[in-house]
Amino acid sequence: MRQLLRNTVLVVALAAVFYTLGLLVVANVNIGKTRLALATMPFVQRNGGHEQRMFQDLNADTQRYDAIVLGSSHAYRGYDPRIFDSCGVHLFVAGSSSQNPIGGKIIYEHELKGRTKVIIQDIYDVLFEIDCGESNLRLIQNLPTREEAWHMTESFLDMRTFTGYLVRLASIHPPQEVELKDYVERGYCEKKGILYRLEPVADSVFNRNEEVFASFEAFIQELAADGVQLVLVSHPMPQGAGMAKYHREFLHEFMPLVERYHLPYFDYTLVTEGFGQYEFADNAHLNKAGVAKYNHLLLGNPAFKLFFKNVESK
Amino acid sequence: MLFNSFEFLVFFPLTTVLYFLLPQAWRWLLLLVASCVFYMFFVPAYILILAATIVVDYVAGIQIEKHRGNGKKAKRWLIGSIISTCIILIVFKYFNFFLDNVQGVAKLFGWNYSVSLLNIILPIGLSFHTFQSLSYVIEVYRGKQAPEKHFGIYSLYVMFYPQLVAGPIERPQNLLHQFHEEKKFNYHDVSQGLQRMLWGMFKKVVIADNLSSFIGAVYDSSESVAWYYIATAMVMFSIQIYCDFSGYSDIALGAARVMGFRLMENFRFPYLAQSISEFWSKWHMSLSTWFRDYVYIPLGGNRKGLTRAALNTLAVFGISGLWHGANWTFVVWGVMHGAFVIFSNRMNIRYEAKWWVISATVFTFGLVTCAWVFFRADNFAIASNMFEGLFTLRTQVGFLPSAFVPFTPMVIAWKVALLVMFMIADRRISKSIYYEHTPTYAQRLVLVSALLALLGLFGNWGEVGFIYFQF
Repeated sequence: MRQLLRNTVLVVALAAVFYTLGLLVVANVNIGKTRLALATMPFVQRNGGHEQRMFQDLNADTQRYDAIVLGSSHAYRGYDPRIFDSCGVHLFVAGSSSQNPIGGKIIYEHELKGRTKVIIQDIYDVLFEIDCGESNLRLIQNLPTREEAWHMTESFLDMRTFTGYLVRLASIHPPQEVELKDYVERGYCEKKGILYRLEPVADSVFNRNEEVFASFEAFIQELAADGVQLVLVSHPMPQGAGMAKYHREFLHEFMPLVERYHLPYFDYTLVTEGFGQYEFADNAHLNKAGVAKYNHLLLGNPAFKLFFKNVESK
Repeated sequence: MLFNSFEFLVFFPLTTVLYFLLPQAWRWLLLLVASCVFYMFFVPAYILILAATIVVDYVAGIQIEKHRGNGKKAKRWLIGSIISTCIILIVFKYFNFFLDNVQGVAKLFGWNYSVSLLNIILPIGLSFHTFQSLSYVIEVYRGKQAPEKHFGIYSLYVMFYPQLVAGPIERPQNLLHQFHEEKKFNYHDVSQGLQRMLWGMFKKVVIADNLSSFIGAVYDSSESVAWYYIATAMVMFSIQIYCDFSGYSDIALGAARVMGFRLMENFRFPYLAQSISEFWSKWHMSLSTWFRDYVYIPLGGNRKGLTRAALNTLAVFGISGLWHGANWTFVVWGVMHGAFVIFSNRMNIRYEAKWWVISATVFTFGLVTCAWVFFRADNFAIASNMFEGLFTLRTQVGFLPSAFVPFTPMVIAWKVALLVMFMIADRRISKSIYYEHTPTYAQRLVLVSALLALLGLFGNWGEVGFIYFQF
């Protein structure tokens, strides 16, 4: 037994040395503008890009917003603050790639508390199904401070997030690994192009992710306790085969939660009128024309506008 | 429970420590409870299916022994046991496949025959424990194994957690008696077992799981991607399935070895085979010997002439394909291998010259890689797209689908490098770990530490399931 313990300690110690050396190499050796870690370590996400710039913009001052949008790329590509400005709503978009309620909750707690009275949560069915790995890992690389990155790691502690956090710690001067070509302002990115091929939904069966649902419920309760109004929205989607079925299955699981907390939900997922090939950039995102149409549609909805009546009367 | 999960990281040491702390009389119970817990992490209710198989075959074993002097009665018990075990397999694995085919045939004759399919999930590892259970009853009938009187120990023979869901498919002569023997803590066994588990985990998490996403993207877009993507994905799948399955077997053998149990070897460097026949003597050995002993030889084997031997070979490989999955693609995969085996047995040329060895090995690897396309593809359309793209040297049709966004040239280069490095190092590292070929203590320490560090650095810890779990 003593021999086993001695050898185990030796192996672990030596492995720790190899691991540290390996980590320093892959986190700091760059090929072009990319760290080796990005190609070799699964789940390590890019440094820089939209998320980093969004947090810089958010923390550039302490101003309050009439509403802040949370959600995935649907959020940061789907709500143009300039259009909201034109309707008198001062908006910031704090969406991030694949951000689900677990990521949204952390961002709210560490970055958004006290900055708004209305949170607009963009609802995308897939995010209530998938594991939140990509979102959390992207945020771990790009949250403004290491402390926040650690909170994100802690919130979903596994080998992937822990490794992602260590890569962040080990990267001394990480390069900007994402070009910021489509960033506009206040977290909004404009996606160009049109939908050239309508693809079917990858899997039209919705499988509820209990962890995400539980986290979302906790988030609803936290916002209610803080006196922040939560408004749920979904933007129109290309109607590939299986989309309607998938969305109906999602609603079957999601609506009981919405009804339990009496939340307003503006669901445009299955709206097709006015949204065709030229309003989408790909199979999941609106393009500039689509965003303009959708945002005006939303802001033209009297029920939606109710949440900003105080703003309008200002 | 997956071997590559956090739960197993807690479960395994806890079970092992308790195993050595308990007196021998209680160990079977601990292992049985642990095996139930391990299995119930998937779909808890399916433990009842296992229980049904165990009860039927346990009773059959005892009854066969009781009626040993009366050939007819013993045979009835044997057949009854085989039929009832197979019914479970057929209902859960093949019933929907059967209905699908009936519907297809009915359509051919213009008969609108609509049936509702069973809405069931295939119990994990059903084909494995069913075959293990069958091998017990057959061996008892043949008089090569005494029936196990202890119901708990017999249950453990079917359910022993390291090999419960994906083999090796054990034989009673090798495993049953080991549960009666007192296993003392043995440093050498523990150390060897842990090293083997580490190597298995490395193969699964670092190699297989890092290749899977790219392969999936290519198969999902098989109608449009360029030939070089297809070729890369085909070679990658050969390595992925080897690392996935032999990795599982290594973890199973290692986990059992830590507690002092010796399970059957399942792989012996199959991609170094110089013919398809040799490949099958090195790949999934516990299944190929099962089919040899319980299907091929009873069918007459090669004792009834060349034509009959060829038909037997095709039948066995066809059934083996169907064993893997309820889909005609698996049957085609099996029959292809059957045809290759017949051909390679007829040729049976072997030279010692290095150029011959290399050419024969590469050629065999090429054949196996082509056959894997039917194994990996969900349907014939995908398989045909893959071959069409490869053999017509297709260039990219339209834009690459969005699923390819993560696969930058650097990422693909890394995956190819992983694959090449593994192919070069596999034999040397495996021999070092399995047979302790590394000469010095220091070299061994460095090897094991490096594997552990690489596992942490490059492991894909997304808890990707093992491919063979679905069978």
